[in-house]
Amino acid sequence: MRVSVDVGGTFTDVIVLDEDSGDIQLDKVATTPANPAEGVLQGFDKVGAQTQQIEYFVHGTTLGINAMLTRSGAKVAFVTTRGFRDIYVLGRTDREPMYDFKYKKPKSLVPRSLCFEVNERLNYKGQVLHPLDVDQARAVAQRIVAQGVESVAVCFLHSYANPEHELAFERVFQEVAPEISVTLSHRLSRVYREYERSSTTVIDAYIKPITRSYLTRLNSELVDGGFDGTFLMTRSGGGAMTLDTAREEPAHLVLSGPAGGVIGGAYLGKLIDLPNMITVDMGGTSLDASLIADGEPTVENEQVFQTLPISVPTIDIHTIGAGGGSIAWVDEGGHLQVGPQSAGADPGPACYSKGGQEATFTDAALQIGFLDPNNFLGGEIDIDPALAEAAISRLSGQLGMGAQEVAAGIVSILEAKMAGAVRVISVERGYHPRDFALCAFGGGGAFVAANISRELGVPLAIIPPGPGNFSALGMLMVDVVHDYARTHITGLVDMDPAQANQVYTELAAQGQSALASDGFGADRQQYLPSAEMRYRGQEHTVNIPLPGVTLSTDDIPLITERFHAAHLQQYGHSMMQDPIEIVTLRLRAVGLLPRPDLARVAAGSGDLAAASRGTRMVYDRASRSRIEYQVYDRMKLGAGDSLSGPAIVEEPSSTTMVHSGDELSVGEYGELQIKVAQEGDGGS
Amino acid sequence: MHDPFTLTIIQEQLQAAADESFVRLGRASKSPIIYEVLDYACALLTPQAELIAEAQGVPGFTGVLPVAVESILEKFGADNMQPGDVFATNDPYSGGGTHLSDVCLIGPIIYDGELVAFAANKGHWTELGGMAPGSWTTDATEIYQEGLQLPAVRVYDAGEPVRDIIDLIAANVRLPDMTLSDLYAGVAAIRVAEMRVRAICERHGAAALRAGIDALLRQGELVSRNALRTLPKGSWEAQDFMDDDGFTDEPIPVRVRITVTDENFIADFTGSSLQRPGPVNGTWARLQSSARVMFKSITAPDYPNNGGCFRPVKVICPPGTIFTAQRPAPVSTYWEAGATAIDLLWQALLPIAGERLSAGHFLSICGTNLSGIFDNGDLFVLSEPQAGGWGAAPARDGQNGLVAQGNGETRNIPVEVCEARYPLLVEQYALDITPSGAGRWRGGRGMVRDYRLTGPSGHVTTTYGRHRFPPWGADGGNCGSSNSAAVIRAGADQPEVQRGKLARYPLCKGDLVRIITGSGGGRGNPLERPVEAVRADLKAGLVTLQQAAEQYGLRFDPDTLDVLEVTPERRNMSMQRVSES
Repeated sequence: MRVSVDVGGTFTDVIVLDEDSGDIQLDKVATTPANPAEGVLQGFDKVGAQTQQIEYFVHGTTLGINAMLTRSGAKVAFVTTRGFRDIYVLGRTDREPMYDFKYKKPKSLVPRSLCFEVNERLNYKGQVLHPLDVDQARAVAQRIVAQGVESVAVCFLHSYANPEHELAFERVFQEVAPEISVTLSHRLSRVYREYERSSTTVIDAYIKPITRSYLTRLNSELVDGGFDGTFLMTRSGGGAMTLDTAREEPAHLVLSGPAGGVIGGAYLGKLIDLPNMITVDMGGTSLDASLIADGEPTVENEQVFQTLPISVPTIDIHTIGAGGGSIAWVDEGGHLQVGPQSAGADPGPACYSKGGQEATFTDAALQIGFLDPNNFLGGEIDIDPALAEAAISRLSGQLGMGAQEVAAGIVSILEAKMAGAVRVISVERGYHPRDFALCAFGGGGAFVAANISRELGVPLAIIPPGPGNFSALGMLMVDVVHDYARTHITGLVDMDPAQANQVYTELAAQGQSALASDGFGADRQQYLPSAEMRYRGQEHTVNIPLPGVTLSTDDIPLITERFHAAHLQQYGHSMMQDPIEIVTLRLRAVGLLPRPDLARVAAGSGDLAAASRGTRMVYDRASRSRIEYQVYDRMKLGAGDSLSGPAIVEEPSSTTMVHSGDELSVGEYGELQIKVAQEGDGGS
Repeated sequence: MHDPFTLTIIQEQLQAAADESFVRLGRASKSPIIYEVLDYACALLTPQAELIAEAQGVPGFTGVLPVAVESILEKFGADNMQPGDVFATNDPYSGGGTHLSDVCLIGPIIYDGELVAFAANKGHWTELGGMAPGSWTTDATEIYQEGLQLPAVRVYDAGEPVRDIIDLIAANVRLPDMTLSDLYAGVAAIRVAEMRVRAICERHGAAALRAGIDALLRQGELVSRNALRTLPKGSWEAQDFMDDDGFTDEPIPVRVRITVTDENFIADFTGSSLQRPGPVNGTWARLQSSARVMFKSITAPDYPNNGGCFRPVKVICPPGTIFTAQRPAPVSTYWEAGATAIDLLWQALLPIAGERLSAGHFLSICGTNLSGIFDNGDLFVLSEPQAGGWGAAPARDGQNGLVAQGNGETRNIPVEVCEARYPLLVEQYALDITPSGAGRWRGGRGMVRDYRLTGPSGHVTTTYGRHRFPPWGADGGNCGSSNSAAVIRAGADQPEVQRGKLARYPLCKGDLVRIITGSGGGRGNPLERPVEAVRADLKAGLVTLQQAAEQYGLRFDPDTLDVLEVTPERRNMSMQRVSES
């Protein structure tokens, strides 16, 4: 049995997969912020998972990012090269809100009084200019301990090229205070740019104590319950890592939660032969958009979370404040706007009767008839359409328009914003949406999937089974991954393959030993080398898969060709005459886990009468009239069943809209496939 | 009558088009000043040259692109433009508006035979020829020394590159490869914007696009006028000095008179110095930009910029002043005059918009140009602005180490990148703890950065204003400290020279260039700063024991940080406060 648990801000999603039958069970419990482990165990109970029978437990959590957002992580000391005490606190010295003449930088995770300098210096080749002064380093360690620090982040200049000084400092520090954890920058990132590497190191140190104590506690409770399987955590960059690695390198856990949905999308895409997929996860407050090309999630090697950069591989997920709880308002110019403020889960939309006064996206959807007031979230929440109407009427009074029109406007405006978010991760990265399917999940994804697809020219929208728990489902499909990288600047044409191979020998040795200690035999190890490359003079790089970990000069033409093509794809041009440089060599070491199979659903009869729930009138913005939509129960549709819009397909956690001109069919895994009518096809 | 929600959606898409072209330009360029420093802006404009939407890395280009588009319209006429045309201008006195290095590229967007918009961008191209590598220096006396002038020329004709012009550019610049990549990146950005705007027309129709743009500009105007109404009415003045023009030590007097009425925000710079022989002069478009930036910051800083927002702004200044230089005055360090204009407005507005404004900051972009040769004889040019200290804001200490107002999302060049790319060793990069900027709320700290030349030879050029006249304090706060650049010869420990402006000062292997940027001004009487705040500054190393004693009136025990003595001045101050309350 495999179990995955995705701990989110509001709900903890649990999925159990029976590996023999392929059957899945899913459920949700409320997240228990004070002790998230409790929520996890409650989830186990609710789905009836027997701890003793769990072979793999895969877990994603927002614990780390929450600690960053609320600045509730550990007391960290930052240690760097003499002369550079301020590099972390200063950041890149930019001032993004440029018309704010009293702009204040976000609070850094370490105050200046806890930043320390050590006498040592390397040059960019990693050669020692000044050896590390051990006595002075020891004195620094003692000062740090005297400050009551819980965790230490070390980033020396050019340590990406030579980690010896960082390792030497760690030895000195451990002699002084073996109980305090130390994060060395080169273990997380062997790439140049001192601020980004420092920030990564600090983030890791900052969330390490809280992550360790949480994981230790959860694991011991599981073990007490008889758990004897493998405990894995999803990583920001895709794949999973073992409990031990997660304790050592929590920086990889920052996007642990949302990564699950993207991994799930990639998995589903492989199953149903749609290797190019855009994923859209719409919750109550925000929307996460990501892109999968050729079966692989797009991974960025540097991301910024709430102004804090982190340079570990991270799935490229673009988040905007657009969700079911997004609030509609009239701006100074008298125009309707939606979001980014959200009513969240509490008080929630006006129709929840929990005191929310403002009209949200959910209220608007209810008002125009997209949602059924009598069967909301499968009847689990009682809602009051009168409250939604009252909230929307207040806006329509301000705008001088009818409530239906305003409600339809709210839905259209938010859909346009969501399409904008998808544009960022597709069009702005050089991909054309027409080459992709859009996989929509979360509580609201199915609702907006067809219209977002239409807006961008995506031909096919997919609603996976169990869209409300899809992130957790994705977590079941992981392999164990270790990422390694090394800055290695060399011209491509005149490169010495022996030097690159030497780097790969070292990286592969690291990977082998890590995978071996995770328990993977040689037959279950896979190595994926790639190189970040650029035209000489550029700073931005393109990551190019390499043919193998042992390169020869014969490989250069192939690599060159791949680089020009990838550059053309991402930037719209290539410069065939310009010299190419390799900047960073990367290696992903993968420990392959047995891949579970999803169960196929039974074929449908083709007769939709049993699934019919009658009809509903829905307000249509284009014709300014109410149109009849057929309503169906998703649970009663079988593989091969098909229907045409206008239709609504309901299930407990989600509602799928199929508009006029759209064609829906049910795939063999129960996924809904919507062929989206394009502009000019006569669709709505 | 178009559905108002469609108009909102069109407006979203116009902003997305500007954002996308910004991303495209940054990613395609090979110049660090573009992709690292983000010294560029992309915009969409109406056929009448009003700003529709923009995306930018620096605020200094606000309002410059409309002037550039006007100059193209004037020279070529809307009727003589074809789809696929791209025009280039960098003429500072008319279209370009700033200095020759900032090249504007402009493409008409034509749908169904009708001019519906312009796509434009303006970027700091790393090299455009002239007497100095990097195309700016502090000792030019006429524009002909400052680089290649592009007086509004067609560089793409109906989609085809005009080879003769491109060859001409390539022949006149030191790094043609990089310069042409800036050109191609800018053209790619125009193509993206063009494609997006045409898609809006195809989807909603050109009439809906026009209606959406009109509504957007009207809305921008409304937001500005509403904010204007909340400001007190009347006139406010400020005067100050710029350091010098690089040739003599004579300070340059400047002044402004702001008048706020129900309808207008009028900035009158009449009475400021005449233009100077050195390149510290600014031009009309940039002055306009300064007034717009300041107006925006005190009205609706978070509302996206469009031409409507700026309709209430009027700028008055006779031609031929330091802010409105005429050909052939040199302008390559125009940002000094531009920043001064902003700082004057800032000082004048303090009485009426003090809650939105910090005290004086280090102000100068601190443009630094280090050039020289590698061991193999190849040329290198490092051009970067510096971060410094900002003034204390209302009820808050000033920010440490932030780029000047004239920069925005401008980022510093990482030390590790700098050392991997140039024959330089950065020996320190840290806050500078010069005793200055004291106040009830303390000014933020400037920076000190040391570059040591490891290559055979080089030059350093700097243009740092506020070297002679430090950043101003407010409400009884002390002033900040000065910006300067020094050269310390290999083996020496004292600077051979320390100034605000250096023009291609020669360097040999092992010489050290020390950059010090100013701390910001304080706010309120330093003697009223609470003991705890001073102690925290001591712990963080932001204040020295000596400064605590001399300026805050508190003598601390160096080990325990207990207060050993309170000066009589500080005691009197607190007694006064007690008797007043």
